[in-house]
Amino acid sequence: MGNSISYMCDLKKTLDAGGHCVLEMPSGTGKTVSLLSLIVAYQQHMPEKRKLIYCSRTMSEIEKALVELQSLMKYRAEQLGYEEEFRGLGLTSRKNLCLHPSVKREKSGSVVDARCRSLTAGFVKEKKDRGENVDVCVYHDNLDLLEPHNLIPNGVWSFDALLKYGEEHKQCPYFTARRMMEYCNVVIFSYHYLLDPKIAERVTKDFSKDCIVVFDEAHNIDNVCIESLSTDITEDSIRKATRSAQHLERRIAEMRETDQEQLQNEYEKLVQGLREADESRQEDAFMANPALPDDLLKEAVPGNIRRAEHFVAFLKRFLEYLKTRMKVRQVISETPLSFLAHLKEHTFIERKPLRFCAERLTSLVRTLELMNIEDYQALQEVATFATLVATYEKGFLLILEPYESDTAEVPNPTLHFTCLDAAIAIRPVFERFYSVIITSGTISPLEMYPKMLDFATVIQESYSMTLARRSFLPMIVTRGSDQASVSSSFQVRNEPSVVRNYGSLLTEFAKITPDGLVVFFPSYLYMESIISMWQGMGILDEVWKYKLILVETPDAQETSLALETYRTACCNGRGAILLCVARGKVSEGIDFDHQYGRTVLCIGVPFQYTESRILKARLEFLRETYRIKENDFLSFDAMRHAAQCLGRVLRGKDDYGVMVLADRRFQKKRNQLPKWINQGLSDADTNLSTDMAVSSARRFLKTMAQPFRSKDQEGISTWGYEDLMQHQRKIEEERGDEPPPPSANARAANDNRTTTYESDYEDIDQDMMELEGF
Amino acid sequence: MASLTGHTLFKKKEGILSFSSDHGAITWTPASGGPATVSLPVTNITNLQQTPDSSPKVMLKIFEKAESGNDPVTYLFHFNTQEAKAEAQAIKDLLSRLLADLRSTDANVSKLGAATAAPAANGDGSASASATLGSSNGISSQSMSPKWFDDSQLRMNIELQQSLMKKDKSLHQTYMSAISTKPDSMTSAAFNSQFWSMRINLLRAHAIEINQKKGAYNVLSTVKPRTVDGELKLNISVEQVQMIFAQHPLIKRIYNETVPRLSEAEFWSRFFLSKLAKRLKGERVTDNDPADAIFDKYSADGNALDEHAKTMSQPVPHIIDIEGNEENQGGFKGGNAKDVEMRPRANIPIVRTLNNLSEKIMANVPPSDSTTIDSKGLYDTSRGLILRDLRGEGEEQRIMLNIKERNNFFSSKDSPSLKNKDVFGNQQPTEILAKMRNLHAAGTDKVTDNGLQINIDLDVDSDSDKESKPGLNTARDAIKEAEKDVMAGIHQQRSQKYGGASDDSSPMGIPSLISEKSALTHATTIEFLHQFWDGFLSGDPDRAMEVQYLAESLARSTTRIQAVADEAEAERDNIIQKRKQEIRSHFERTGKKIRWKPDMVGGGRDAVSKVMQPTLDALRRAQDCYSKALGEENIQISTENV
Repeated sequence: MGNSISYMCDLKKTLDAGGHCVLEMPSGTGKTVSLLSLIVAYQQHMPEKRKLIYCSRTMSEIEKALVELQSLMKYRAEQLGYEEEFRGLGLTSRKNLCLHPSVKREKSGSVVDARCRSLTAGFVKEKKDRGENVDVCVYHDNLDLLEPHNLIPNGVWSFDALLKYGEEHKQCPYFTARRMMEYCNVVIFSYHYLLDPKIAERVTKDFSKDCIVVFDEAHNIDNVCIESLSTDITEDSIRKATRSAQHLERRIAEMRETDQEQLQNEYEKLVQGLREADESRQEDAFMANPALPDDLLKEAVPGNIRRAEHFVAFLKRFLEYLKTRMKVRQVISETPLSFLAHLKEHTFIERKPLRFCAERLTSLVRTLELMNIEDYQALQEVATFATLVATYEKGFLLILEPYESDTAEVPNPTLHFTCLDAAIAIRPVFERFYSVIITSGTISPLEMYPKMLDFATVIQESYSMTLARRSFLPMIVTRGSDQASVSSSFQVRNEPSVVRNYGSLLTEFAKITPDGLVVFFPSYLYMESIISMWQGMGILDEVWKYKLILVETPDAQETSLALETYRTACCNGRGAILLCVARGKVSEGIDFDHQYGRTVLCIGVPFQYTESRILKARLEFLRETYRIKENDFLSFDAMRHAAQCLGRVLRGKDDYGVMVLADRRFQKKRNQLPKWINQGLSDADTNLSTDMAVSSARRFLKTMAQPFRSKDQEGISTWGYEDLMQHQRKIEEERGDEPPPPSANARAANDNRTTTYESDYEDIDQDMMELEGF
Repeated sequence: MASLTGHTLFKKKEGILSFSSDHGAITWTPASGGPATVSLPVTNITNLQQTPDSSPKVMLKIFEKAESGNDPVTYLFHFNTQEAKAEAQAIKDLLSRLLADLRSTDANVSKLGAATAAPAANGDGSASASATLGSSNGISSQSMSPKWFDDSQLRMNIELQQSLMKKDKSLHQTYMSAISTKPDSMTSAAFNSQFWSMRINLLRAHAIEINQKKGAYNVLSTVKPRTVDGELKLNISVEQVQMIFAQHPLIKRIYNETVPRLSEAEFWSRFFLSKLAKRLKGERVTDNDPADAIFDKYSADGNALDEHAKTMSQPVPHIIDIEGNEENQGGFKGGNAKDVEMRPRANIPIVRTLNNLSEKIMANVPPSDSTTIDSKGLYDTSRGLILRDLRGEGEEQRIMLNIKERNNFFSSKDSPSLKNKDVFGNQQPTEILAKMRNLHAAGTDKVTDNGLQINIDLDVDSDSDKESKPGLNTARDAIKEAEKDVMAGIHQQRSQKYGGASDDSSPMGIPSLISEKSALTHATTIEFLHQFWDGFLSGDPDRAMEVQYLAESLARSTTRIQAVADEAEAERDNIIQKRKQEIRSHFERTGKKIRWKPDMVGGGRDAVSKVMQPTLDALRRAQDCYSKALGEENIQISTENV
């Protein structure tokens, strides 16, 4: 528990200093709750009541954080004797929060977005008021009847609770959450809402500078940054965009005949650069500008695309140009500047109007009052691409790949516009907010992040884990039972002996692991080929005797169902194996705690596909700009994903699990594992063959199956109030009898610490016993 | 589960009766449009009634549990279309199954009883043209589990009891000896139910244990055709065939269509060689595989049709909703396409097969991640999120038992503790401790001085403690006394547990035969004590007779213990005699005397009495209570003397 205290102390130091920090705290030791409890206490104590913006990766994690916050606030109310004036909300996509009976049934999230917009757009309401017969969304319109700053009562609302409240009061949960963002003490949402300018501009532009920003599970944050400024254009999207452009043209012609005035109005507005006034209530606009706020041009739309018909012609010209570029049959990689130069040379399209593409299109869609905007998605992609390519020069690259892979014969050209520098997207966040906390269970090596994201920290720290018993067993398996080495490197990974050795590793662990066994593969391709080979070798038939087998699939819904079946089988005692991918959907945000994962097998080092041109470009960029060596980055990237997979199996100190890294190459990468895993890895366990690993794991599981009473942990891994006080005295003594600065802040933190950890004081032995049954 | 609907009239308006997507509620939506006007959570439904099949009108009546204990609210739905019967039947079936599921998962026995009792009561009240549709029937026929929760059923199930006794030898012994010594006036049925009512938990555990069966497994992977001498050999059991049919309805269909023409054996051997079998297993089909006229007609896809319907209808809790995660950010998604390695190929048959099969095997198990919200507003699943080791103390669930005049239970009049009380009662523990420490320190200081030769007078309070004997006044004596007391206790405990000399079959020197007998006697005695207190404390006047019998049996228990003690004494005498004989013969042979005293032989009456003392105390206490109670009631003890 000492580590939680130092974690919280360091957090507070960061907040006091008003700087940024990177903290690594072992998975499943109450990181989220420590973080929330400290910040909420800090927030409630200080007069400024700084808002907390808590960002996590996936909806699952956001929901988990909300539930934790809920119980924290309940605990605070119990301790304080009254409920604080406090509001905490989470935000996710429309797809996840929709209640409209028909819209919510749409399978695709972008269709839900589009249909929602066409029901809730400002002009739809105007039409309705004029008495026209248009479809509206009751849930959305009911919000207008409420006080705008009090759409939902105080309290912490998880998504489930929010949906339930919305259903009961017939009000839209999505817009409730979104409009209430500014009145919340704690806001929990995905990184994208801060990092991706396409979303951030609409949602978070009103947040004040003193907000406390937390990026939890941030080990992957650089990729999110890069993603938010990258985009792809395919032949298919150009085809669809062309069709949409033609459609737009027709609509403009129609409108000219019926409502000339409307178009003229728009033109006037664009001349005067009046977008601000117009945008005041544009939360539901067609699309936001994909460029970062600092890079937006604060001037009027250039003359040559002001008229609607001119703009459409402009778009069509640009599309034609892209079409001809796609015809090239060799790989081209060029900078945005060279692309723009080539573009200008052939089509006379200037850079400036191109930059306004996204904005101009938004305005046009609004003017035309288009109802079925989902048809314009491809055009939106092209406009995004145009704006990005014309805005950014440095840290970006255009790569045209005519073939999907080196062996493919049929061309399927894709034009990648790729961001190479993760710092670009996150820089505005660091500049805007003065306390940014980046934390995760597996964020080693810590110094990599400030380097890659280009910021300075007040504190960088990795905490270890104090345990009353050795509750996880990391092992590195380098050889199969036949002593042949195992590895997923490209040269040997499809060799039958390697596949068979991996297969026998799986079979053996299926035999000894109770309940759930999770297996991670480096990629989809490898997973699929190895499963097919296992089936052919009869390995799966053997595994079926012990466990059910479930596999992550490309389809999210199918995978959800597979996961549910897996969890049911784990609870029911049947036991199951889940085969999934280290960078896939399951590895992000799904926990395999307790019976859901007693063993995790990491088959192969989850390296990225090194032949990828995008990756190569990024490696080069990292070397030249930040002096990060290619191999260092690749290895770091692989190990953070491996660590992430391993960390999934532990949640709480009563949990236990075996962690197996099965690849010869892991032996050398041991030091890149997070501190807490590396400490648990004994030297004897770093070079095992399958049979040694199995016997070691068997012994471990037997030990763990013994009753473990929570009393045994007291004072070691869980502290009561007394332990805490003792620790504090010890720290003070170490500091040399210097009394701690008796500032109000310190007291606030102390108060809080007691509130949080008093609850550790005693557990129910029965609960622990229950566990041993598994 | 496809969603069921029925066209119905409700309050003379047309509309559609249907289930909510999670089957958590039944709703009625008017045909004229608009939101559902009636929505009944299944959990609130207490009873169902339906018109009999013969009736021309088809109506379904649903009783909803009313708040604050009023009469239940009823909803009458009139099915008015051509398919009325079928629709009504389907809805009723589903509803009663849901109700059954709901109740069977409810481990709370009393609630179960109440829930089943309520419909019956309601049924009487409204027994008009519509026949009562016992929803409780549905339960017992549909699910087995409630049987385990019903105490009386367990008590009556002789088969179960016998199988339990077969497994548990000592329980069997207890039962047999108890039944042999039961009062004659007690019928064996009454005895039986008495005996088992105290062991319901054992019965329930046993019932659940023997009802556990091996679950479904992937059967196709276990059947391995072998070729012996160019001929295909196949071992397939009936159970395997059944499981294949269950897991692969397609094969069942093909079997139905072809088997009269094809012999059973041929069907299976051809099937396992066919491409279809390969496809069902998820293996890749190559061109080299032999063609089969029958099986090649069928596509393996037909097998998995129902799965997709299920996919659509099931809500998944947010914390494991991968689809929701994918859609988390909303809006137009940026980012470059995944590289080749991470781009999943369109359709790997094996992957789908693995998932389908596992899902099919788990289909009968209710999903562990339910989305029903409990009283605290948390999903079951989100409750799993709470870090168990960081959770505070749970609320106390136990009931404090306050026993008055506790002393009476523990001290008989002349027990040594009472004597000690006089001695130590007036001493101050802190003083004594301090003196002890002094003594100890002094003792260790003067090691040369022949041990504890000091004679510091650690006099306790000689003036205040007038009654105390002079010898006990010094602390040394007090310590000695205490030590003796403690050691005696430990010795007795030890010898009871491990026997006199490392031989655990003969505690306190009692021969193993006798000790077994005493153990048995003890068990039966405790059994009767159990029954006695159960009856005696129930305060039920109807049980007076029973209690009287039981009291008699207690008396008999005492005599039984005496008998065992006598037997032990006889045995001991026997041993002593033998030993004497031996010594004598030894003396005669060698002329040497062996020093031996009869005291060295353990066992005997004293030993047995000592072992049984607590039991005897308990018996006496029970009998005292009984006679006292009788005395208060002015009733003479009619039976033999206590």
